[in-house]
Amino acid sequence: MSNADAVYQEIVAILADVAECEVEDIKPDTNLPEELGLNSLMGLEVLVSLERKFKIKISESELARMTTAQDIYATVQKVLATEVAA
Amino acid sequence: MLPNAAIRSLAIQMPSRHVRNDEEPYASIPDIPHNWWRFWGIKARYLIDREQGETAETLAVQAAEKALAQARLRPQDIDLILCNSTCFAGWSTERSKALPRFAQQLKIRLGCVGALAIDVEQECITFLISLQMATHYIASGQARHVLVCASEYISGVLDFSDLSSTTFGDGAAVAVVSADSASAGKLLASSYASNADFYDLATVKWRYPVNGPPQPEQFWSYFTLDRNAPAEMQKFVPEGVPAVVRKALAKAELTPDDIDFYVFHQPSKILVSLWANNLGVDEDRFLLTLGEYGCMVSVSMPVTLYEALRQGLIKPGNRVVIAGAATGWGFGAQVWEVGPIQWN
Repeated sequence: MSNADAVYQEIVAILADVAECEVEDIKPDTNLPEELGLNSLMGLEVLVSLERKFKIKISESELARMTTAQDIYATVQKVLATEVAA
Repeated sequence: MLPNAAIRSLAIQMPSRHVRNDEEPYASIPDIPHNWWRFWGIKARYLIDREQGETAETLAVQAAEKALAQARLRPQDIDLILCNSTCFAGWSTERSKALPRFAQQLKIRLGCVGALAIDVEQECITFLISLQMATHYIASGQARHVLVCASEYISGVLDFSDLSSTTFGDGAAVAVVSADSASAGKLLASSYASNADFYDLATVKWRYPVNGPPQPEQFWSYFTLDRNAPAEMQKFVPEGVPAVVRKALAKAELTPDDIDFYVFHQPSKILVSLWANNLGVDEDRFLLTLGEYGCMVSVSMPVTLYEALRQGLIKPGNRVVIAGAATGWGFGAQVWEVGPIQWN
């Protein structure tokens, strides 16, 4: 599994844990608020888990713009790349 | 040379009833959102049973007797009692008795004949405020031994028809703070802040329960959480505690990585995690106790300190941060070098 795959799988695992669903229920373009009922408080739990897992900082405003697993993956990769460059 | 103040002993006293989320009164609360318990991180909590004779006052006396015994002090050795209980009515056997609160009662019940007794109130961070006051009284030479008591009957002001009642628990914690050598422990630095901009998010108000027809006998003082409070609190509380922690650390010329353990107030699992994340603190350097205790207002920090000691997570010589937030809103952080705190 490539590193990128591993990052994506970790993100899906976090989402499945918070949304209390199966990993298989989460596709890259699954709308998390509308299809899985992820509300703002659950979003905070996702944010905390992402920060802890990847040792990064994501603002709540960025989190609000991420409605799919693919969105989250892109943001996490961007932040990771920024922190490596720094 | 000014005397140094050290935390000499710490004792807790919980009520006898340990109530899970699926038991009454919680099982009957309407419209609990999906993931509510998971978000707050609470599985159970202790609730005072007045029919068994339990009150905030009795719990405080029991905890104080233990703390005195652990510190090997007699009641007459105590020079100062600092006492708080956020539930301003119902802390004794008389449900309607409010003020003055029970610092003087504690003095009488314990037999601390020479002690000055003072009631203190700053909601969830009161234990920090009282510890700070204790160190000042000791450093100024006005006291050698101080009893710092926090005892919460928060369930006495909860509206059990509403979600706002679900996250709290009762209990008491008492610390003995004494003049001692620096090797016995010392307060290195502290920092506090106040922000009244969000005052109305969480208050205690005289009203009828939210749900159900108003019954005259149910008109009482209830903890009242604004409907948007959980979301609104995220705007400033996650930053407020790390900010005072950083200021306290800067005063002590330390960084977050220099701290062996963090004792955080316990309002919710998410908030504690956000504080820890903000400071770069991994899970092995802080403890969540609200799972089995709930949020105990001013008792949460001393109980978390107690649990950390009991679990061997804090040892003599460790640098420890104790920090939290209070409604109104207040923020406090202390940096301690702890000595051998007697806890059992």
